[in-house]
Amino acid sequence: MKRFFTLFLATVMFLSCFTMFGCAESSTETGVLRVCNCEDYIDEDLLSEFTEETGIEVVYSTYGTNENLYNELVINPNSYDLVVPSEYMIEKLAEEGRLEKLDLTKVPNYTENVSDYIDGRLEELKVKSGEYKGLSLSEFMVGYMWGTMGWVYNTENVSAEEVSSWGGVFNNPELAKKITIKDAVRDSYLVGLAMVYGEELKNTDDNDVISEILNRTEQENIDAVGEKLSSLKNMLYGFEVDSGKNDIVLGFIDAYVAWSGDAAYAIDVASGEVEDEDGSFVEGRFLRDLSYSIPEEGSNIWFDGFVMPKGSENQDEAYEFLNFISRPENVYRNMNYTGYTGMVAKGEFSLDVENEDGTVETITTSIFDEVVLGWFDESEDLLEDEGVTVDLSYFFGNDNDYTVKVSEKGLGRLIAQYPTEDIVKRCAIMSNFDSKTLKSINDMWEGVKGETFPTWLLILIAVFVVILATFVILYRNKEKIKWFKLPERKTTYAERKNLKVIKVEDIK
Amino acid sequence: MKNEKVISQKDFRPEVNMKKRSLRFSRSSLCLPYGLFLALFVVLPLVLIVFYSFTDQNGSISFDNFIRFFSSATTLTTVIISILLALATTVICIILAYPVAYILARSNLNKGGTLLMLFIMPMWINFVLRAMAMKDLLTLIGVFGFNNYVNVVIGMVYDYLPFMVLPIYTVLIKMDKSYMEASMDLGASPLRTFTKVTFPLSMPGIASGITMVFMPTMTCYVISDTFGNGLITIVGKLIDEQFTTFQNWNLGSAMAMVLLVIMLVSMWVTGGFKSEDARGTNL
Repeated sequence: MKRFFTLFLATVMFLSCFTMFGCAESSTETGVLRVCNCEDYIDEDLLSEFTEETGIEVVYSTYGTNENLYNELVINPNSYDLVVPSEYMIEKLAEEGRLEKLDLTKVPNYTENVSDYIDGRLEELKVKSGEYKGLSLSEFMVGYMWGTMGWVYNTENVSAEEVSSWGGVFNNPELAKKITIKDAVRDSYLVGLAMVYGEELKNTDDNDVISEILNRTEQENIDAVGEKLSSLKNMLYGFEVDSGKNDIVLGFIDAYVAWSGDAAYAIDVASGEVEDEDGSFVEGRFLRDLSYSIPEEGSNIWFDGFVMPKGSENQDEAYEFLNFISRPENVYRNMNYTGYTGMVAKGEFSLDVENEDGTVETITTSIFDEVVLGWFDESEDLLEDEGVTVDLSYFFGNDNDYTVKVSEKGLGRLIAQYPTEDIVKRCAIMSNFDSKTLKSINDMWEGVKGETFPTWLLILIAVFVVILATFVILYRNKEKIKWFKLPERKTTYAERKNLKVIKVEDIK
Repeated sequence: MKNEKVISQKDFRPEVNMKKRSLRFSRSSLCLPYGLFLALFVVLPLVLIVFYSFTDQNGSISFDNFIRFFSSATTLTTVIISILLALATTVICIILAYPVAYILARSNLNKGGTLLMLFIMPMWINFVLRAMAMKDLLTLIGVFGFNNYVNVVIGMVYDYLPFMVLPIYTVLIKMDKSYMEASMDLGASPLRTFTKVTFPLSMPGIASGITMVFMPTMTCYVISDTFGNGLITIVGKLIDEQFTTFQNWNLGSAMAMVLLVIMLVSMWVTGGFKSEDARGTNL
């Protein structure tokens, strides 16, 4: 009894830790900022530079998926001052009232420099329920990175025609077991929707219609998608979330559904244009000719941004950090580091560049000049009638000439970073699933991922298990059950072998 | 000789008692830290899992989670596949581990445990890393990719083999050699000695090996994901998805409860070997 009392006391003590957590946390020192970001999603040198500049210490941590971050925020709402979820998770957090509304006037670097197009799309996203109902998501977030989803494919084995639709590659028997799709239900669900309602999608140019189709969550839609995805399974090499970019470079697969940043990474690694740690380029490491394509049906467009969990105690520090991270030069550095695309488009900054003779020169440049022209422009190598001219003014604005000339081959790499206006017009934002939808999609996804034995087999197995269990129980208790007794051995080993038995007493 | 011992024991007894009094805590109070640890990290989480599994997402009591679990053919199939994979892994582990443990225990080469050390050393390296390296190695020699189930079993056997070798080795090395000598003296052949004496006596080692291999392989979805390319789903993966992707902690807890019952049953089955067959009475 005493032991149980001790256990009880210990449990009570532990529970009281929970209730007192809020009080314990409130003694945060001034000048500290707790940031939680996705893994490998920032140039971490910037954090120490921020501390140097402002004296604010950054406690930096990372999370794996949006859902893990959500769990952390639910269990311990006071643990971070800034977090970086995707737009659907921001929507969910806002609906549940877990976010602080931001005062964007305190972040001039962002409001002045953010791409008008991106800001417009975020403006369209509204919170659907809860205390913030009707407000747009842009009031809660300072945009960080954005991107799309599409096929990364090996141009030797897959034609551009096949990846111009989501279902194309599955019709080529030579690509059996050479394709992967995402082991993430939201992404694969969208791919399924785009395949099931492909005709409908191709017949429209209206982004609202495309968004409606790619956000269908009625039971019949879910069933149709489940059936479609299950039928693709025998063509798949597997489901993946992070091994695909390596598998395609190594040649295990020929096509995989990729997020745009991973696509850029895979294409760069495969073409050998990867910067080594010492800054030199390692060329010809793999030399596989990869490209990126966003199918014609349409795709997903996603936005990650900084949001402030409710009850953040270091708000001034947080705004200072947001302003710092939105400076064009810092956006450029993060893009350079992560390979994803920043939402900041405008603004000039100075950059130290090394000339060929080794002298360092400081130039004034912009994100368009550095990233788009610096990385993609091929006009010098191309003849006049060769290549494609891409106009990115939808993203960068109308104040200047924002066109770039690239080869057909370079286009795949460019749209991984900056999709053209035609493409983004066909990309939809996926809303957050409500809990009822999530349950139906859960059932569907389980069915797609797992095997399902027919009912008769399951019943057979159940009967077998019951019989086995009965036998084991009876065998265990065989001493207690009279009719189950085994016949006792009546002969000894010596008797059976006809050995002469000499008793110990006889020897004496 | 005998008398001396008794006297010396008596001499020391008062001193021991005095020490005890001066420190002022009894032997049972030394267990308190562990009791606390148990309460915080074993009992409380279990209570939470039971609580979550018998409530729905609004917090009211319901059996929906279990009904959902047992009415879904896919979930049941996943459980069966997990059990079959775990059984296959365990059986192969026993077949591979027993000779190795036997050789390690009997061989003169293993003076000082060097050979054993070499065998156990992979356990010190992170197993995710080992799994990925093994996958690349299998791909390189061309074994990988012909059947995902076979791949997963290979991966699991590779990762859990040391957990089977070690307990069997421990039992064999501690075994009193005079039993075997007696058996040989009485005219039994080496094979007969093995089947009638050595093997039955090493049953406790096999039993603890089974508990260390069978249960983890049912939930270790890192290996099934790595080696099965995400095409093989086991119970552990289902539970993980409930907690992360689908935000349904209640269903996830219910699945964990079912797994707990399966584990208890498997402990009960292997525990039986320990009490009866370990003495070699029933074989």
